[in-house]
Amino acid sequence: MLETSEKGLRFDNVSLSLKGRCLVAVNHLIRPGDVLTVMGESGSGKSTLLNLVAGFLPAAFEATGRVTLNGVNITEQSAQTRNVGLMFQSPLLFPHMSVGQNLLFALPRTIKGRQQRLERVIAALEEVGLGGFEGRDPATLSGGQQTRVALMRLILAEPQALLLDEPFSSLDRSRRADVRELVFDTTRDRKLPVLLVTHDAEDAEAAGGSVIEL
Amino acid sequence: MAASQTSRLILWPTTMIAFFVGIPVVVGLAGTLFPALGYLPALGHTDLSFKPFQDALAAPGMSTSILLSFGTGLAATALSLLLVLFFTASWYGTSLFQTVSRVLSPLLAVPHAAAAFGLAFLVAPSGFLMRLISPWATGYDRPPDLLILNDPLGLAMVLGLVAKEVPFLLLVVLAAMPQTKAREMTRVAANLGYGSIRGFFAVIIPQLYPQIRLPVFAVLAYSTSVVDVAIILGPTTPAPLAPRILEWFFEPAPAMWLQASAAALLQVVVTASAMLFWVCAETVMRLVYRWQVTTGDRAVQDFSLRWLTLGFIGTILVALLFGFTVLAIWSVARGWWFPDTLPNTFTLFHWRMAIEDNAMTIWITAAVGLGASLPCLALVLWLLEAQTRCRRSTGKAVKGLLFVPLLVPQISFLFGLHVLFVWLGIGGTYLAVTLAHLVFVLPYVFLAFSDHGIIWTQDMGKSQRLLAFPIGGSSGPFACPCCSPRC
Repeated sequence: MLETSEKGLRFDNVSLSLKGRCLVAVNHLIRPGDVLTVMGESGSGKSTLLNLVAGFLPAAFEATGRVTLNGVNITEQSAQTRNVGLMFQSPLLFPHMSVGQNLLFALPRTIKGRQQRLERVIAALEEVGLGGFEGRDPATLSGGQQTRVALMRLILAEPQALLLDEPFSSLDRSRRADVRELVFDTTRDRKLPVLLVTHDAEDAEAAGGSVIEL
Repeated sequence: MAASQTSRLILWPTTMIAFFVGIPVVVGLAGTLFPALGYLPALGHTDLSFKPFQDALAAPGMSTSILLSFGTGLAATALSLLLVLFFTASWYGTSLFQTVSRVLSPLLAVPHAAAAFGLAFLVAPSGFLMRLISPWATGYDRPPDLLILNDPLGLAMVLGLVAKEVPFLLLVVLAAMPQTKAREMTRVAANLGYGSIRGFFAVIIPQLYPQIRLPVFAVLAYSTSVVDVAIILGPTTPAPLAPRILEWFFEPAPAMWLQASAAALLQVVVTASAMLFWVCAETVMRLVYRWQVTTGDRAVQDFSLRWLTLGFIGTILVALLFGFTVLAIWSVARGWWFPDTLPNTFTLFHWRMAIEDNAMTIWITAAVGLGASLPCLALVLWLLEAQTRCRRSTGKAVKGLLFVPLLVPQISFLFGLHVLFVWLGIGGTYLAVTLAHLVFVLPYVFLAFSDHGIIWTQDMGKSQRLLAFPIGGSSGPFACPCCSPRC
């Protein structure tokens, strides 16, 4: 296929509709390290767009077009094999695991050896300013700290694209800027294409990429 | 609300529940203990000794009976739980899961004995399945001499128990699921690349299992001490412990009561040992979990395992429904000789006889059922309403207490309870039967209502908020249109 060498997350004439009513239509290539922001009020179908890409589209919606990631058509793949990291509105850390176990859970199997895996996790925590937090219970962390752990949990699973579902909306205004900066620095460093869904204009501004308003 | 008023609101229903549940079990066990030690003055036995225990243990095949109860109970419980967990792990959130649970849940209302008879008529050497393939495939023109039912290892009995416990455990799991944020958490796991089954076991079960643990122990207690299913499907030479105890209680020689009482206490020991074994197995599973969960193994390819699980659950469903159909056909059959697939002629004779001969029994059964259910319903509603008004959830102590009658083998305290009723002058009356039923109906009513009605949610780990409503509502199977949401 012609596009097999193409890098990034492409929406190839993707449109989403519910009971015949079109909610979203996107035709766009998000290049590695770039951010596409989709803005809209709740109920506008922007979260559904993320679910479409992640493989969680509810049966009630109809989707046409296709989504390709680095040249591979992922539209029909199962959610498990898409390699697309989805950051939910709340951090959703596993409450029965420590912070470190949450991250070890995400680390691929290819990194072997208990010690080596643990070292990777410790380094990842340091990267988001949470050095020494591996033994902590997630419930004892602040909202901002939980979001950072959730981000690292996603990154450690080595996704090839990132989907952000208003991940900053649950944070205090003062913390929001810090966490936002950290997220976008991380994705730029790793050259990940990012699809951000938000209703906050500041988020879109900080993301710095193209914006689609619904 | 003032603290004293709060406690008074809850105190009354709690005390009544404690009274109805605690007293019968404690007195019942005591009433079994004394005869087991040779003390039954009414029959002239006043010397305390261990002779009843020695007699019970010396009965032929006793060690086999004990091992059978222990083994079949554990096997049935483990199989049922694994099936339900794997099925939920494989299909939770799909429309298929909803359909199957909707069909399975009402099967909970089927009496164990009826289900066991249905299965027996289905799989017996002269049963419906064998008729379907005979004589054209098997060559049999008379039932083959196969030991499918009442096999010495108790396999048929285990399968019968599994078929009945799966709907129960599925209901229990369904009730506990909302508190695990299952939908979101399984999505997180899937998004990280985990196969549905492994993701569910890693992420949901550690939160789910503590909530279903008591019902699982109830299943274990029931399965290790079951009477009716054991009589219909279980081994006979020797039978498991519980049916033998019942047989001894019904011996004409009252001296056998002492031996039966001793065996009834042995039954407590057998059930307790099975529970101890289960606790050890839990510990092993916890270690395996801790060692396994952080290895990063995704087990993405679980397609065949998911369909295999569905196949097992589907088989149970079909077997139960089919068993019923066969039961219904038998009830109107006249002259259904092997290997005919269907009866030659049909008749309503059996129904007419059953209704004419048992008209009184049927009415009394219904009266006992209603008489036991309605007070329990009222008590549970009272307790839940009081708790909702005080914005409290059921304490661990009350929950534990409610489960006591389900955790102690019935046969071990019902005889003692009978002694109490005789002493109260109501022995052998329908009032006594109804009161005895209360003890078992109360926990089930509570189980059915409490978890469905009140959903507490952890909001960002900071505050607890009452999301739902006191009782009923569209999410539960016991929707109650007259109870409008409070919040």
